Amino acid sequence: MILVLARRELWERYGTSRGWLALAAAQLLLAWLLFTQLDIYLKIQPRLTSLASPLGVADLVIAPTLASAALVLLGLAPLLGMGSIADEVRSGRLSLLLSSPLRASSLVAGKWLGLFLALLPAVLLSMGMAAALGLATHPDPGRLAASALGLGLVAALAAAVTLWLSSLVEQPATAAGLAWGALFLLWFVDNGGNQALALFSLRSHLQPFLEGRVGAGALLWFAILTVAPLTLATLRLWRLGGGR
Amino acid sequence: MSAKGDILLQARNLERRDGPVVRLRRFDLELRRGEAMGLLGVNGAGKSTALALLGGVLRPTRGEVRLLGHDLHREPLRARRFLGLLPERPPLYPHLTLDENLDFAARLRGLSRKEATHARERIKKRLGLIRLGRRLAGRLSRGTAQRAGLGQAMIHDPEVLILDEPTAGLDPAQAHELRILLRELAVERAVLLATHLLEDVAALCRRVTLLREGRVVLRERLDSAPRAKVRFLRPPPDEALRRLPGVAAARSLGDGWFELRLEDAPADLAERVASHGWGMADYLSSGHDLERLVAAMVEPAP
Repeated sequence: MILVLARRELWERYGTSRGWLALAAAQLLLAWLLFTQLDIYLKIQPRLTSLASPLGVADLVIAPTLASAALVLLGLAPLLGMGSIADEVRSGRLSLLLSSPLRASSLVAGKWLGLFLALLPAVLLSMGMAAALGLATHPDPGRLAASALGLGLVAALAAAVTLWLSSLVEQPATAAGLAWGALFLLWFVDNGGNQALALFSLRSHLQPFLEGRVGAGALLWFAILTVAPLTLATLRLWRLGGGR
Repeated sequence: MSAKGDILLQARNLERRDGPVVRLRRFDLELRRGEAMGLLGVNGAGKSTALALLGGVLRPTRGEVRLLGHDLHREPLRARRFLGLLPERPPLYPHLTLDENLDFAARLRGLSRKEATHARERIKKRLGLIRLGRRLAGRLSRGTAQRAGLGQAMIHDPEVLILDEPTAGLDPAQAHELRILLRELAVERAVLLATHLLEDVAALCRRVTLLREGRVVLRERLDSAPRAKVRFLRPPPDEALRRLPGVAAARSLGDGWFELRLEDAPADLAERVASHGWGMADYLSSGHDLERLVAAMVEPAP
């Protein structure tokens, strides 16, 4: 049942041109960011060589580009997923789902999986761009794998937050606005360097992955911030009428 | 399958509150196999809330709903297998074809891919949608979309059908066709129909429950032999009218008017009259005390 819903959700995102256009725009933006980083790197490379700096393409091009890719994912998730539940409520189609022999948790899981899969092409294309630098350099495959995992976790979290906020309102645009607000707040929350706020910071928890370090603490942080909104969305649908 | 006459849908003391607003209170209902019941009321009377509670789309603040004995909110997965719900707007995905919409509804109801395909073709045949499978749902006419929504509701062959304003927005011919179909469906199932159209009630229902401001104000068993006053452009002899299928008695009232006692719902009368070329100019339903129901619908709350 979860897979049936996930497939439906995926088709909803890419069955029309909106999803493809959003993905194409995200990809263009990332390509531009990559070339900008590469341009900067090529300009400072002679100085780095003369200083015998340990920093290379992985630190100065790939990691910043993938951090930007995470930010792009935070922009893309609400764009693709704003209508996940809000549109079902607005159009009256939620009655089809809630009158079916389907648990609210399965409904949320299916929709989340569909949205997560809809975001995966953006993750894979970003990783593809980073891996393409392997034609000229030798990026560390372990570090690339950790970065891919980090971006995957960002996509999972962004999909969960978007889905939850989409369950709270009837207008997809309102859901998108709320989701952008929540996700960018999580990203920029420690901008002032506040240590306490860094606990909530998405950027500071993603950074170890981009540096090739996969820590249990960061994994747990992503797991909590993904499962919590999904639980809230399930409770929301259960309160409406869905079986838990 | 349970026997004819068994209680399929039961609601006890249902209540729904949204903050201080009481949408529905002390709502009881019993619906048996082979029975069609009309839930009547003006807009805002609580019909849609009642249907949403009975269809599992809303959780009641108090009370319980049972489908074939299974509690809808305690055993939702089991209970909902017996339920088909058609909301006021057919729950179609406009970017999917009719076939894809029906397949999705079938898969949601737990049918395998193969079963879903089989059920889809069976339903399309029954609802006259056989040539429209590849058409996008967003491009279906109102009447066709309504039939497609009904197809979604009955794709898993449910025992209980709950329909919210099924003929709203349809032209008279489409509404007539849909009523005939619903009458057929009600023979083997329990059908609950929310409407404010008395034609639907007259054609389909043997019992009505009238809601006003969230309360049940009237429960009525309708006369099994409804009456109608009809004016013909070319009045036939009384005897010819009496021989018309479905007409038990006919009496001329003068000026082309006749009082007819009908053996069944009056929905097919116009068609039969038309086939004789008598030209039905006016039709007033005087059976079922429908006028009294109208008065009860719009009376101020006690």
